[in-house]
Amino acid sequence: MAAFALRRLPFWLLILLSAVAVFGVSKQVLAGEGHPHDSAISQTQASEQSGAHARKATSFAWPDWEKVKRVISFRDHNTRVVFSGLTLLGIVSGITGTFLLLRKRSLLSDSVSHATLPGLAIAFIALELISGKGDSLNWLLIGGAITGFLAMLAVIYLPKISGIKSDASLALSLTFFYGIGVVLLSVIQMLPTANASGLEYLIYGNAATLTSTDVQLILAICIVCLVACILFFKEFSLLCFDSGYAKANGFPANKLDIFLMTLIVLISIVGLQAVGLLLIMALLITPAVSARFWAKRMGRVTFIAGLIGGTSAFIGVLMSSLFPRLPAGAIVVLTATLFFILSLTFGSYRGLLSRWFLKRRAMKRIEMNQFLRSTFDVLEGDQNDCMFIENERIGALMKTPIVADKVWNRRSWSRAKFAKVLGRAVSENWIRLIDDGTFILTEDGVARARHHARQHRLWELYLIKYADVAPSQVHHDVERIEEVAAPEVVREIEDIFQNEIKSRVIPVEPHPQITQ
Amino acid sequence: MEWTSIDTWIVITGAMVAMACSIPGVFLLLSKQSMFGHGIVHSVLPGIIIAFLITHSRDLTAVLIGATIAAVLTGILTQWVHRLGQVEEGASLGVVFTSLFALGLLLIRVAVDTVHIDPDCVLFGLLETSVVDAVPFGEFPRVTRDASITLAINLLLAGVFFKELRIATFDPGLAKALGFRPALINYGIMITTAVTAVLAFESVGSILVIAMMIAPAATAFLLTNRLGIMLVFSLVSACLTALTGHVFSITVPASVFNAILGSEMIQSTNIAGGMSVMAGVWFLLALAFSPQKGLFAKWWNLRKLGKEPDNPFEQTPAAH
Repeated sequence: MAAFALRRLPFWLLILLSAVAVFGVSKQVLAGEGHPHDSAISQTQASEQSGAHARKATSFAWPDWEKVKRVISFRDHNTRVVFSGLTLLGIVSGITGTFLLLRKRSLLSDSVSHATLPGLAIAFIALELISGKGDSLNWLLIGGAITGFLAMLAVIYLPKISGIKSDASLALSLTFFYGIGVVLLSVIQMLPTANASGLEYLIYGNAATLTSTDVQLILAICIVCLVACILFFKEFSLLCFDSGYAKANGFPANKLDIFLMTLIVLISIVGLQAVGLLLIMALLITPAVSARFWAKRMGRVTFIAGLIGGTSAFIGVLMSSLFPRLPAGAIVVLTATLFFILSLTFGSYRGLLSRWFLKRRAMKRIEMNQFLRSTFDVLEGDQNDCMFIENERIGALMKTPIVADKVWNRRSWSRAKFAKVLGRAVSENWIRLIDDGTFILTEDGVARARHHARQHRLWELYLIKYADVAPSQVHHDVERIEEVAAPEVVREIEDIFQNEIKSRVIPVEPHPQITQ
Repeated sequence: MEWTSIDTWIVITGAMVAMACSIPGVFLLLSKQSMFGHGIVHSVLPGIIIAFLITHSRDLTAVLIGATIAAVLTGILTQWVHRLGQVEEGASLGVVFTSLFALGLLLIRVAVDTVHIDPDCVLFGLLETSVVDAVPFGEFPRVTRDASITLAINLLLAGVFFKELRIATFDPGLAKALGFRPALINYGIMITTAVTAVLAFESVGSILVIAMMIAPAATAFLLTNRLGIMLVFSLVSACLTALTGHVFSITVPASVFNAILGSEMIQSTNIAGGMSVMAGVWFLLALAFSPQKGLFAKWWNLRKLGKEPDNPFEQTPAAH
């Protein structure tokens, strides 16, 4: 039980984290509507409007300490509302976005969020006609959700029925729906009574104007998505990694797919007001892409994505409430981008640096193997070939001095590189220098040299006999594959060549000698 | 609605832009990069702002250069993230273009606050205004001239490099083996797309550019299997889209909404929007009625197959 709990640690943390956020929000909601004049954000907005001329002169100003204290202590109701709402949205969109990314549908969220425009516009016009007031947010969002959902279905089903690729279906449904939206927007502008500023907020986003009611909606949607992601974690993961296998095992893959994408549509809808329809995709994708650089397991990736999404949202809102001139949506996205760049560079699993170090270590190992193998070849060529390949003559190998130039002759390395590898071999205690240009192998060196020479020749024999590789070519082919082949494969080859090897532990080189 | 010379010019300009965009669009569609057009339309924003900050004027050339650099950068960064970071191509495009766009929004607020640059203007250039600025005074619209030049250059490029483009889009592996450089050709497509898009959307609006980069090509894709014919079809489809789109936008929404409202206040609506809607409609028509790949043809063929008397797949009762 304890082991189980420990294995599921990320989940517990996630649940805990979101529980804290949920608690924070619900406290605000239960406390009732806020007092808008009490808040740092709305205050700065009011002062912005009154002091418009002063602002234009200095568009960018550092906040004074009073304000920093005010924001950081979360003293104001609205600050708390905006912070908790956006952070929760960041966490949940990071988690959901991981599935979207792995489903290879990253850009679907962009098509969906653009396709909300006609829905918003239709709802706006309808509301104008019915009640004369077009900015009832919930109805607008419902309208947007409907067209967003239609676009999502179009994106998924167009490739299936028409044979065009999925990227084309994304772009097609985006332009079609957005085109309708643009036409309807120009209709709205011609309506005599309409004031389309409510719609503008949804296109470009305005986190600072979020109210308790808006955050209630964000809260509800986020809880739904979070619960769905936790309950269907196994199913969604299976769908992402191998949808064919899911289908074969009796999972309703298509329905699950539509369900997952519906969650994406919902997140896109509630994200409209916070970051705007042009940037909501970044909130879904960037944390997930960044998380992939840190972990391999699905659970960890979702956890890290949620963490990055939440942190970006938090920092974004913090910045934009300290510097009210900065657009919150853009800051959130840029913070996420910063996380992405850091992850790309320093990520422990697939980051550039860690991959570079791994590659360098592997290169060093391979170079050392090749150096020692060539040393063995030289030793063997200096003597009568059978003399040193038998087990009991190992001691003799350790006493024979080797001329470094002869080894260099067998490798296609530059002088400088050879000297570097030689130096490393000395410091790693594989060889011992006798004088300038001659060295002997140490005990470890002999063992490693024999091991690699043997493995190399077994491979050569195998390729000549079973893969029809020409003996003059085989050396280079083996150099490419021997380092990546697993030890079990080598053992199998040993079994094949038992007769050839017999008492000789290391077979003779099966090809003419190669020198520079 | 009365058809004036302005309408004619709008259709001509729209058709020129549409054709110019549809040529790189065909190759984007075939190399599965259709969303690239959408990406660069957004990611040029910081380029435009920075160009503006450097020159301190709304000089068109500087803006175009800045936008083009940003667009090309988008392509390079996307490829770079895709290859170095092993990120899926769509996701890497998404990360790159949203970041650049957010940077642009931030720059607008922080740096150019005192001057009016509206993201609206950048994203929704208006075809009608840019034509109306010239035609009534007897001038040849600058937009039309630019679009024609772009179209001519794109046609020329597609003609000269037809062989290379064909092999690189259909079989990059073979292209590489034969000594072509598919990566280089791909960058060429990206740069052409970027320049075309920047030249076009500054005057006609981003939505039309994105639509024309994909819809005519997709329509043509449903009608033929040959690349040369696909290019011709996409040009024809682009022209038809421009014409019907304009007719649509000056008639349909106006009559619908005027009927609902019982008044005459709605007139001609956004033309770029109308054209992109019609582009989608043409695609749907092709999807329904294409002779080979259309849904109707498929249904018909299935039916015919079922009715054939000597259908080998039909189960016949075993004779004992």
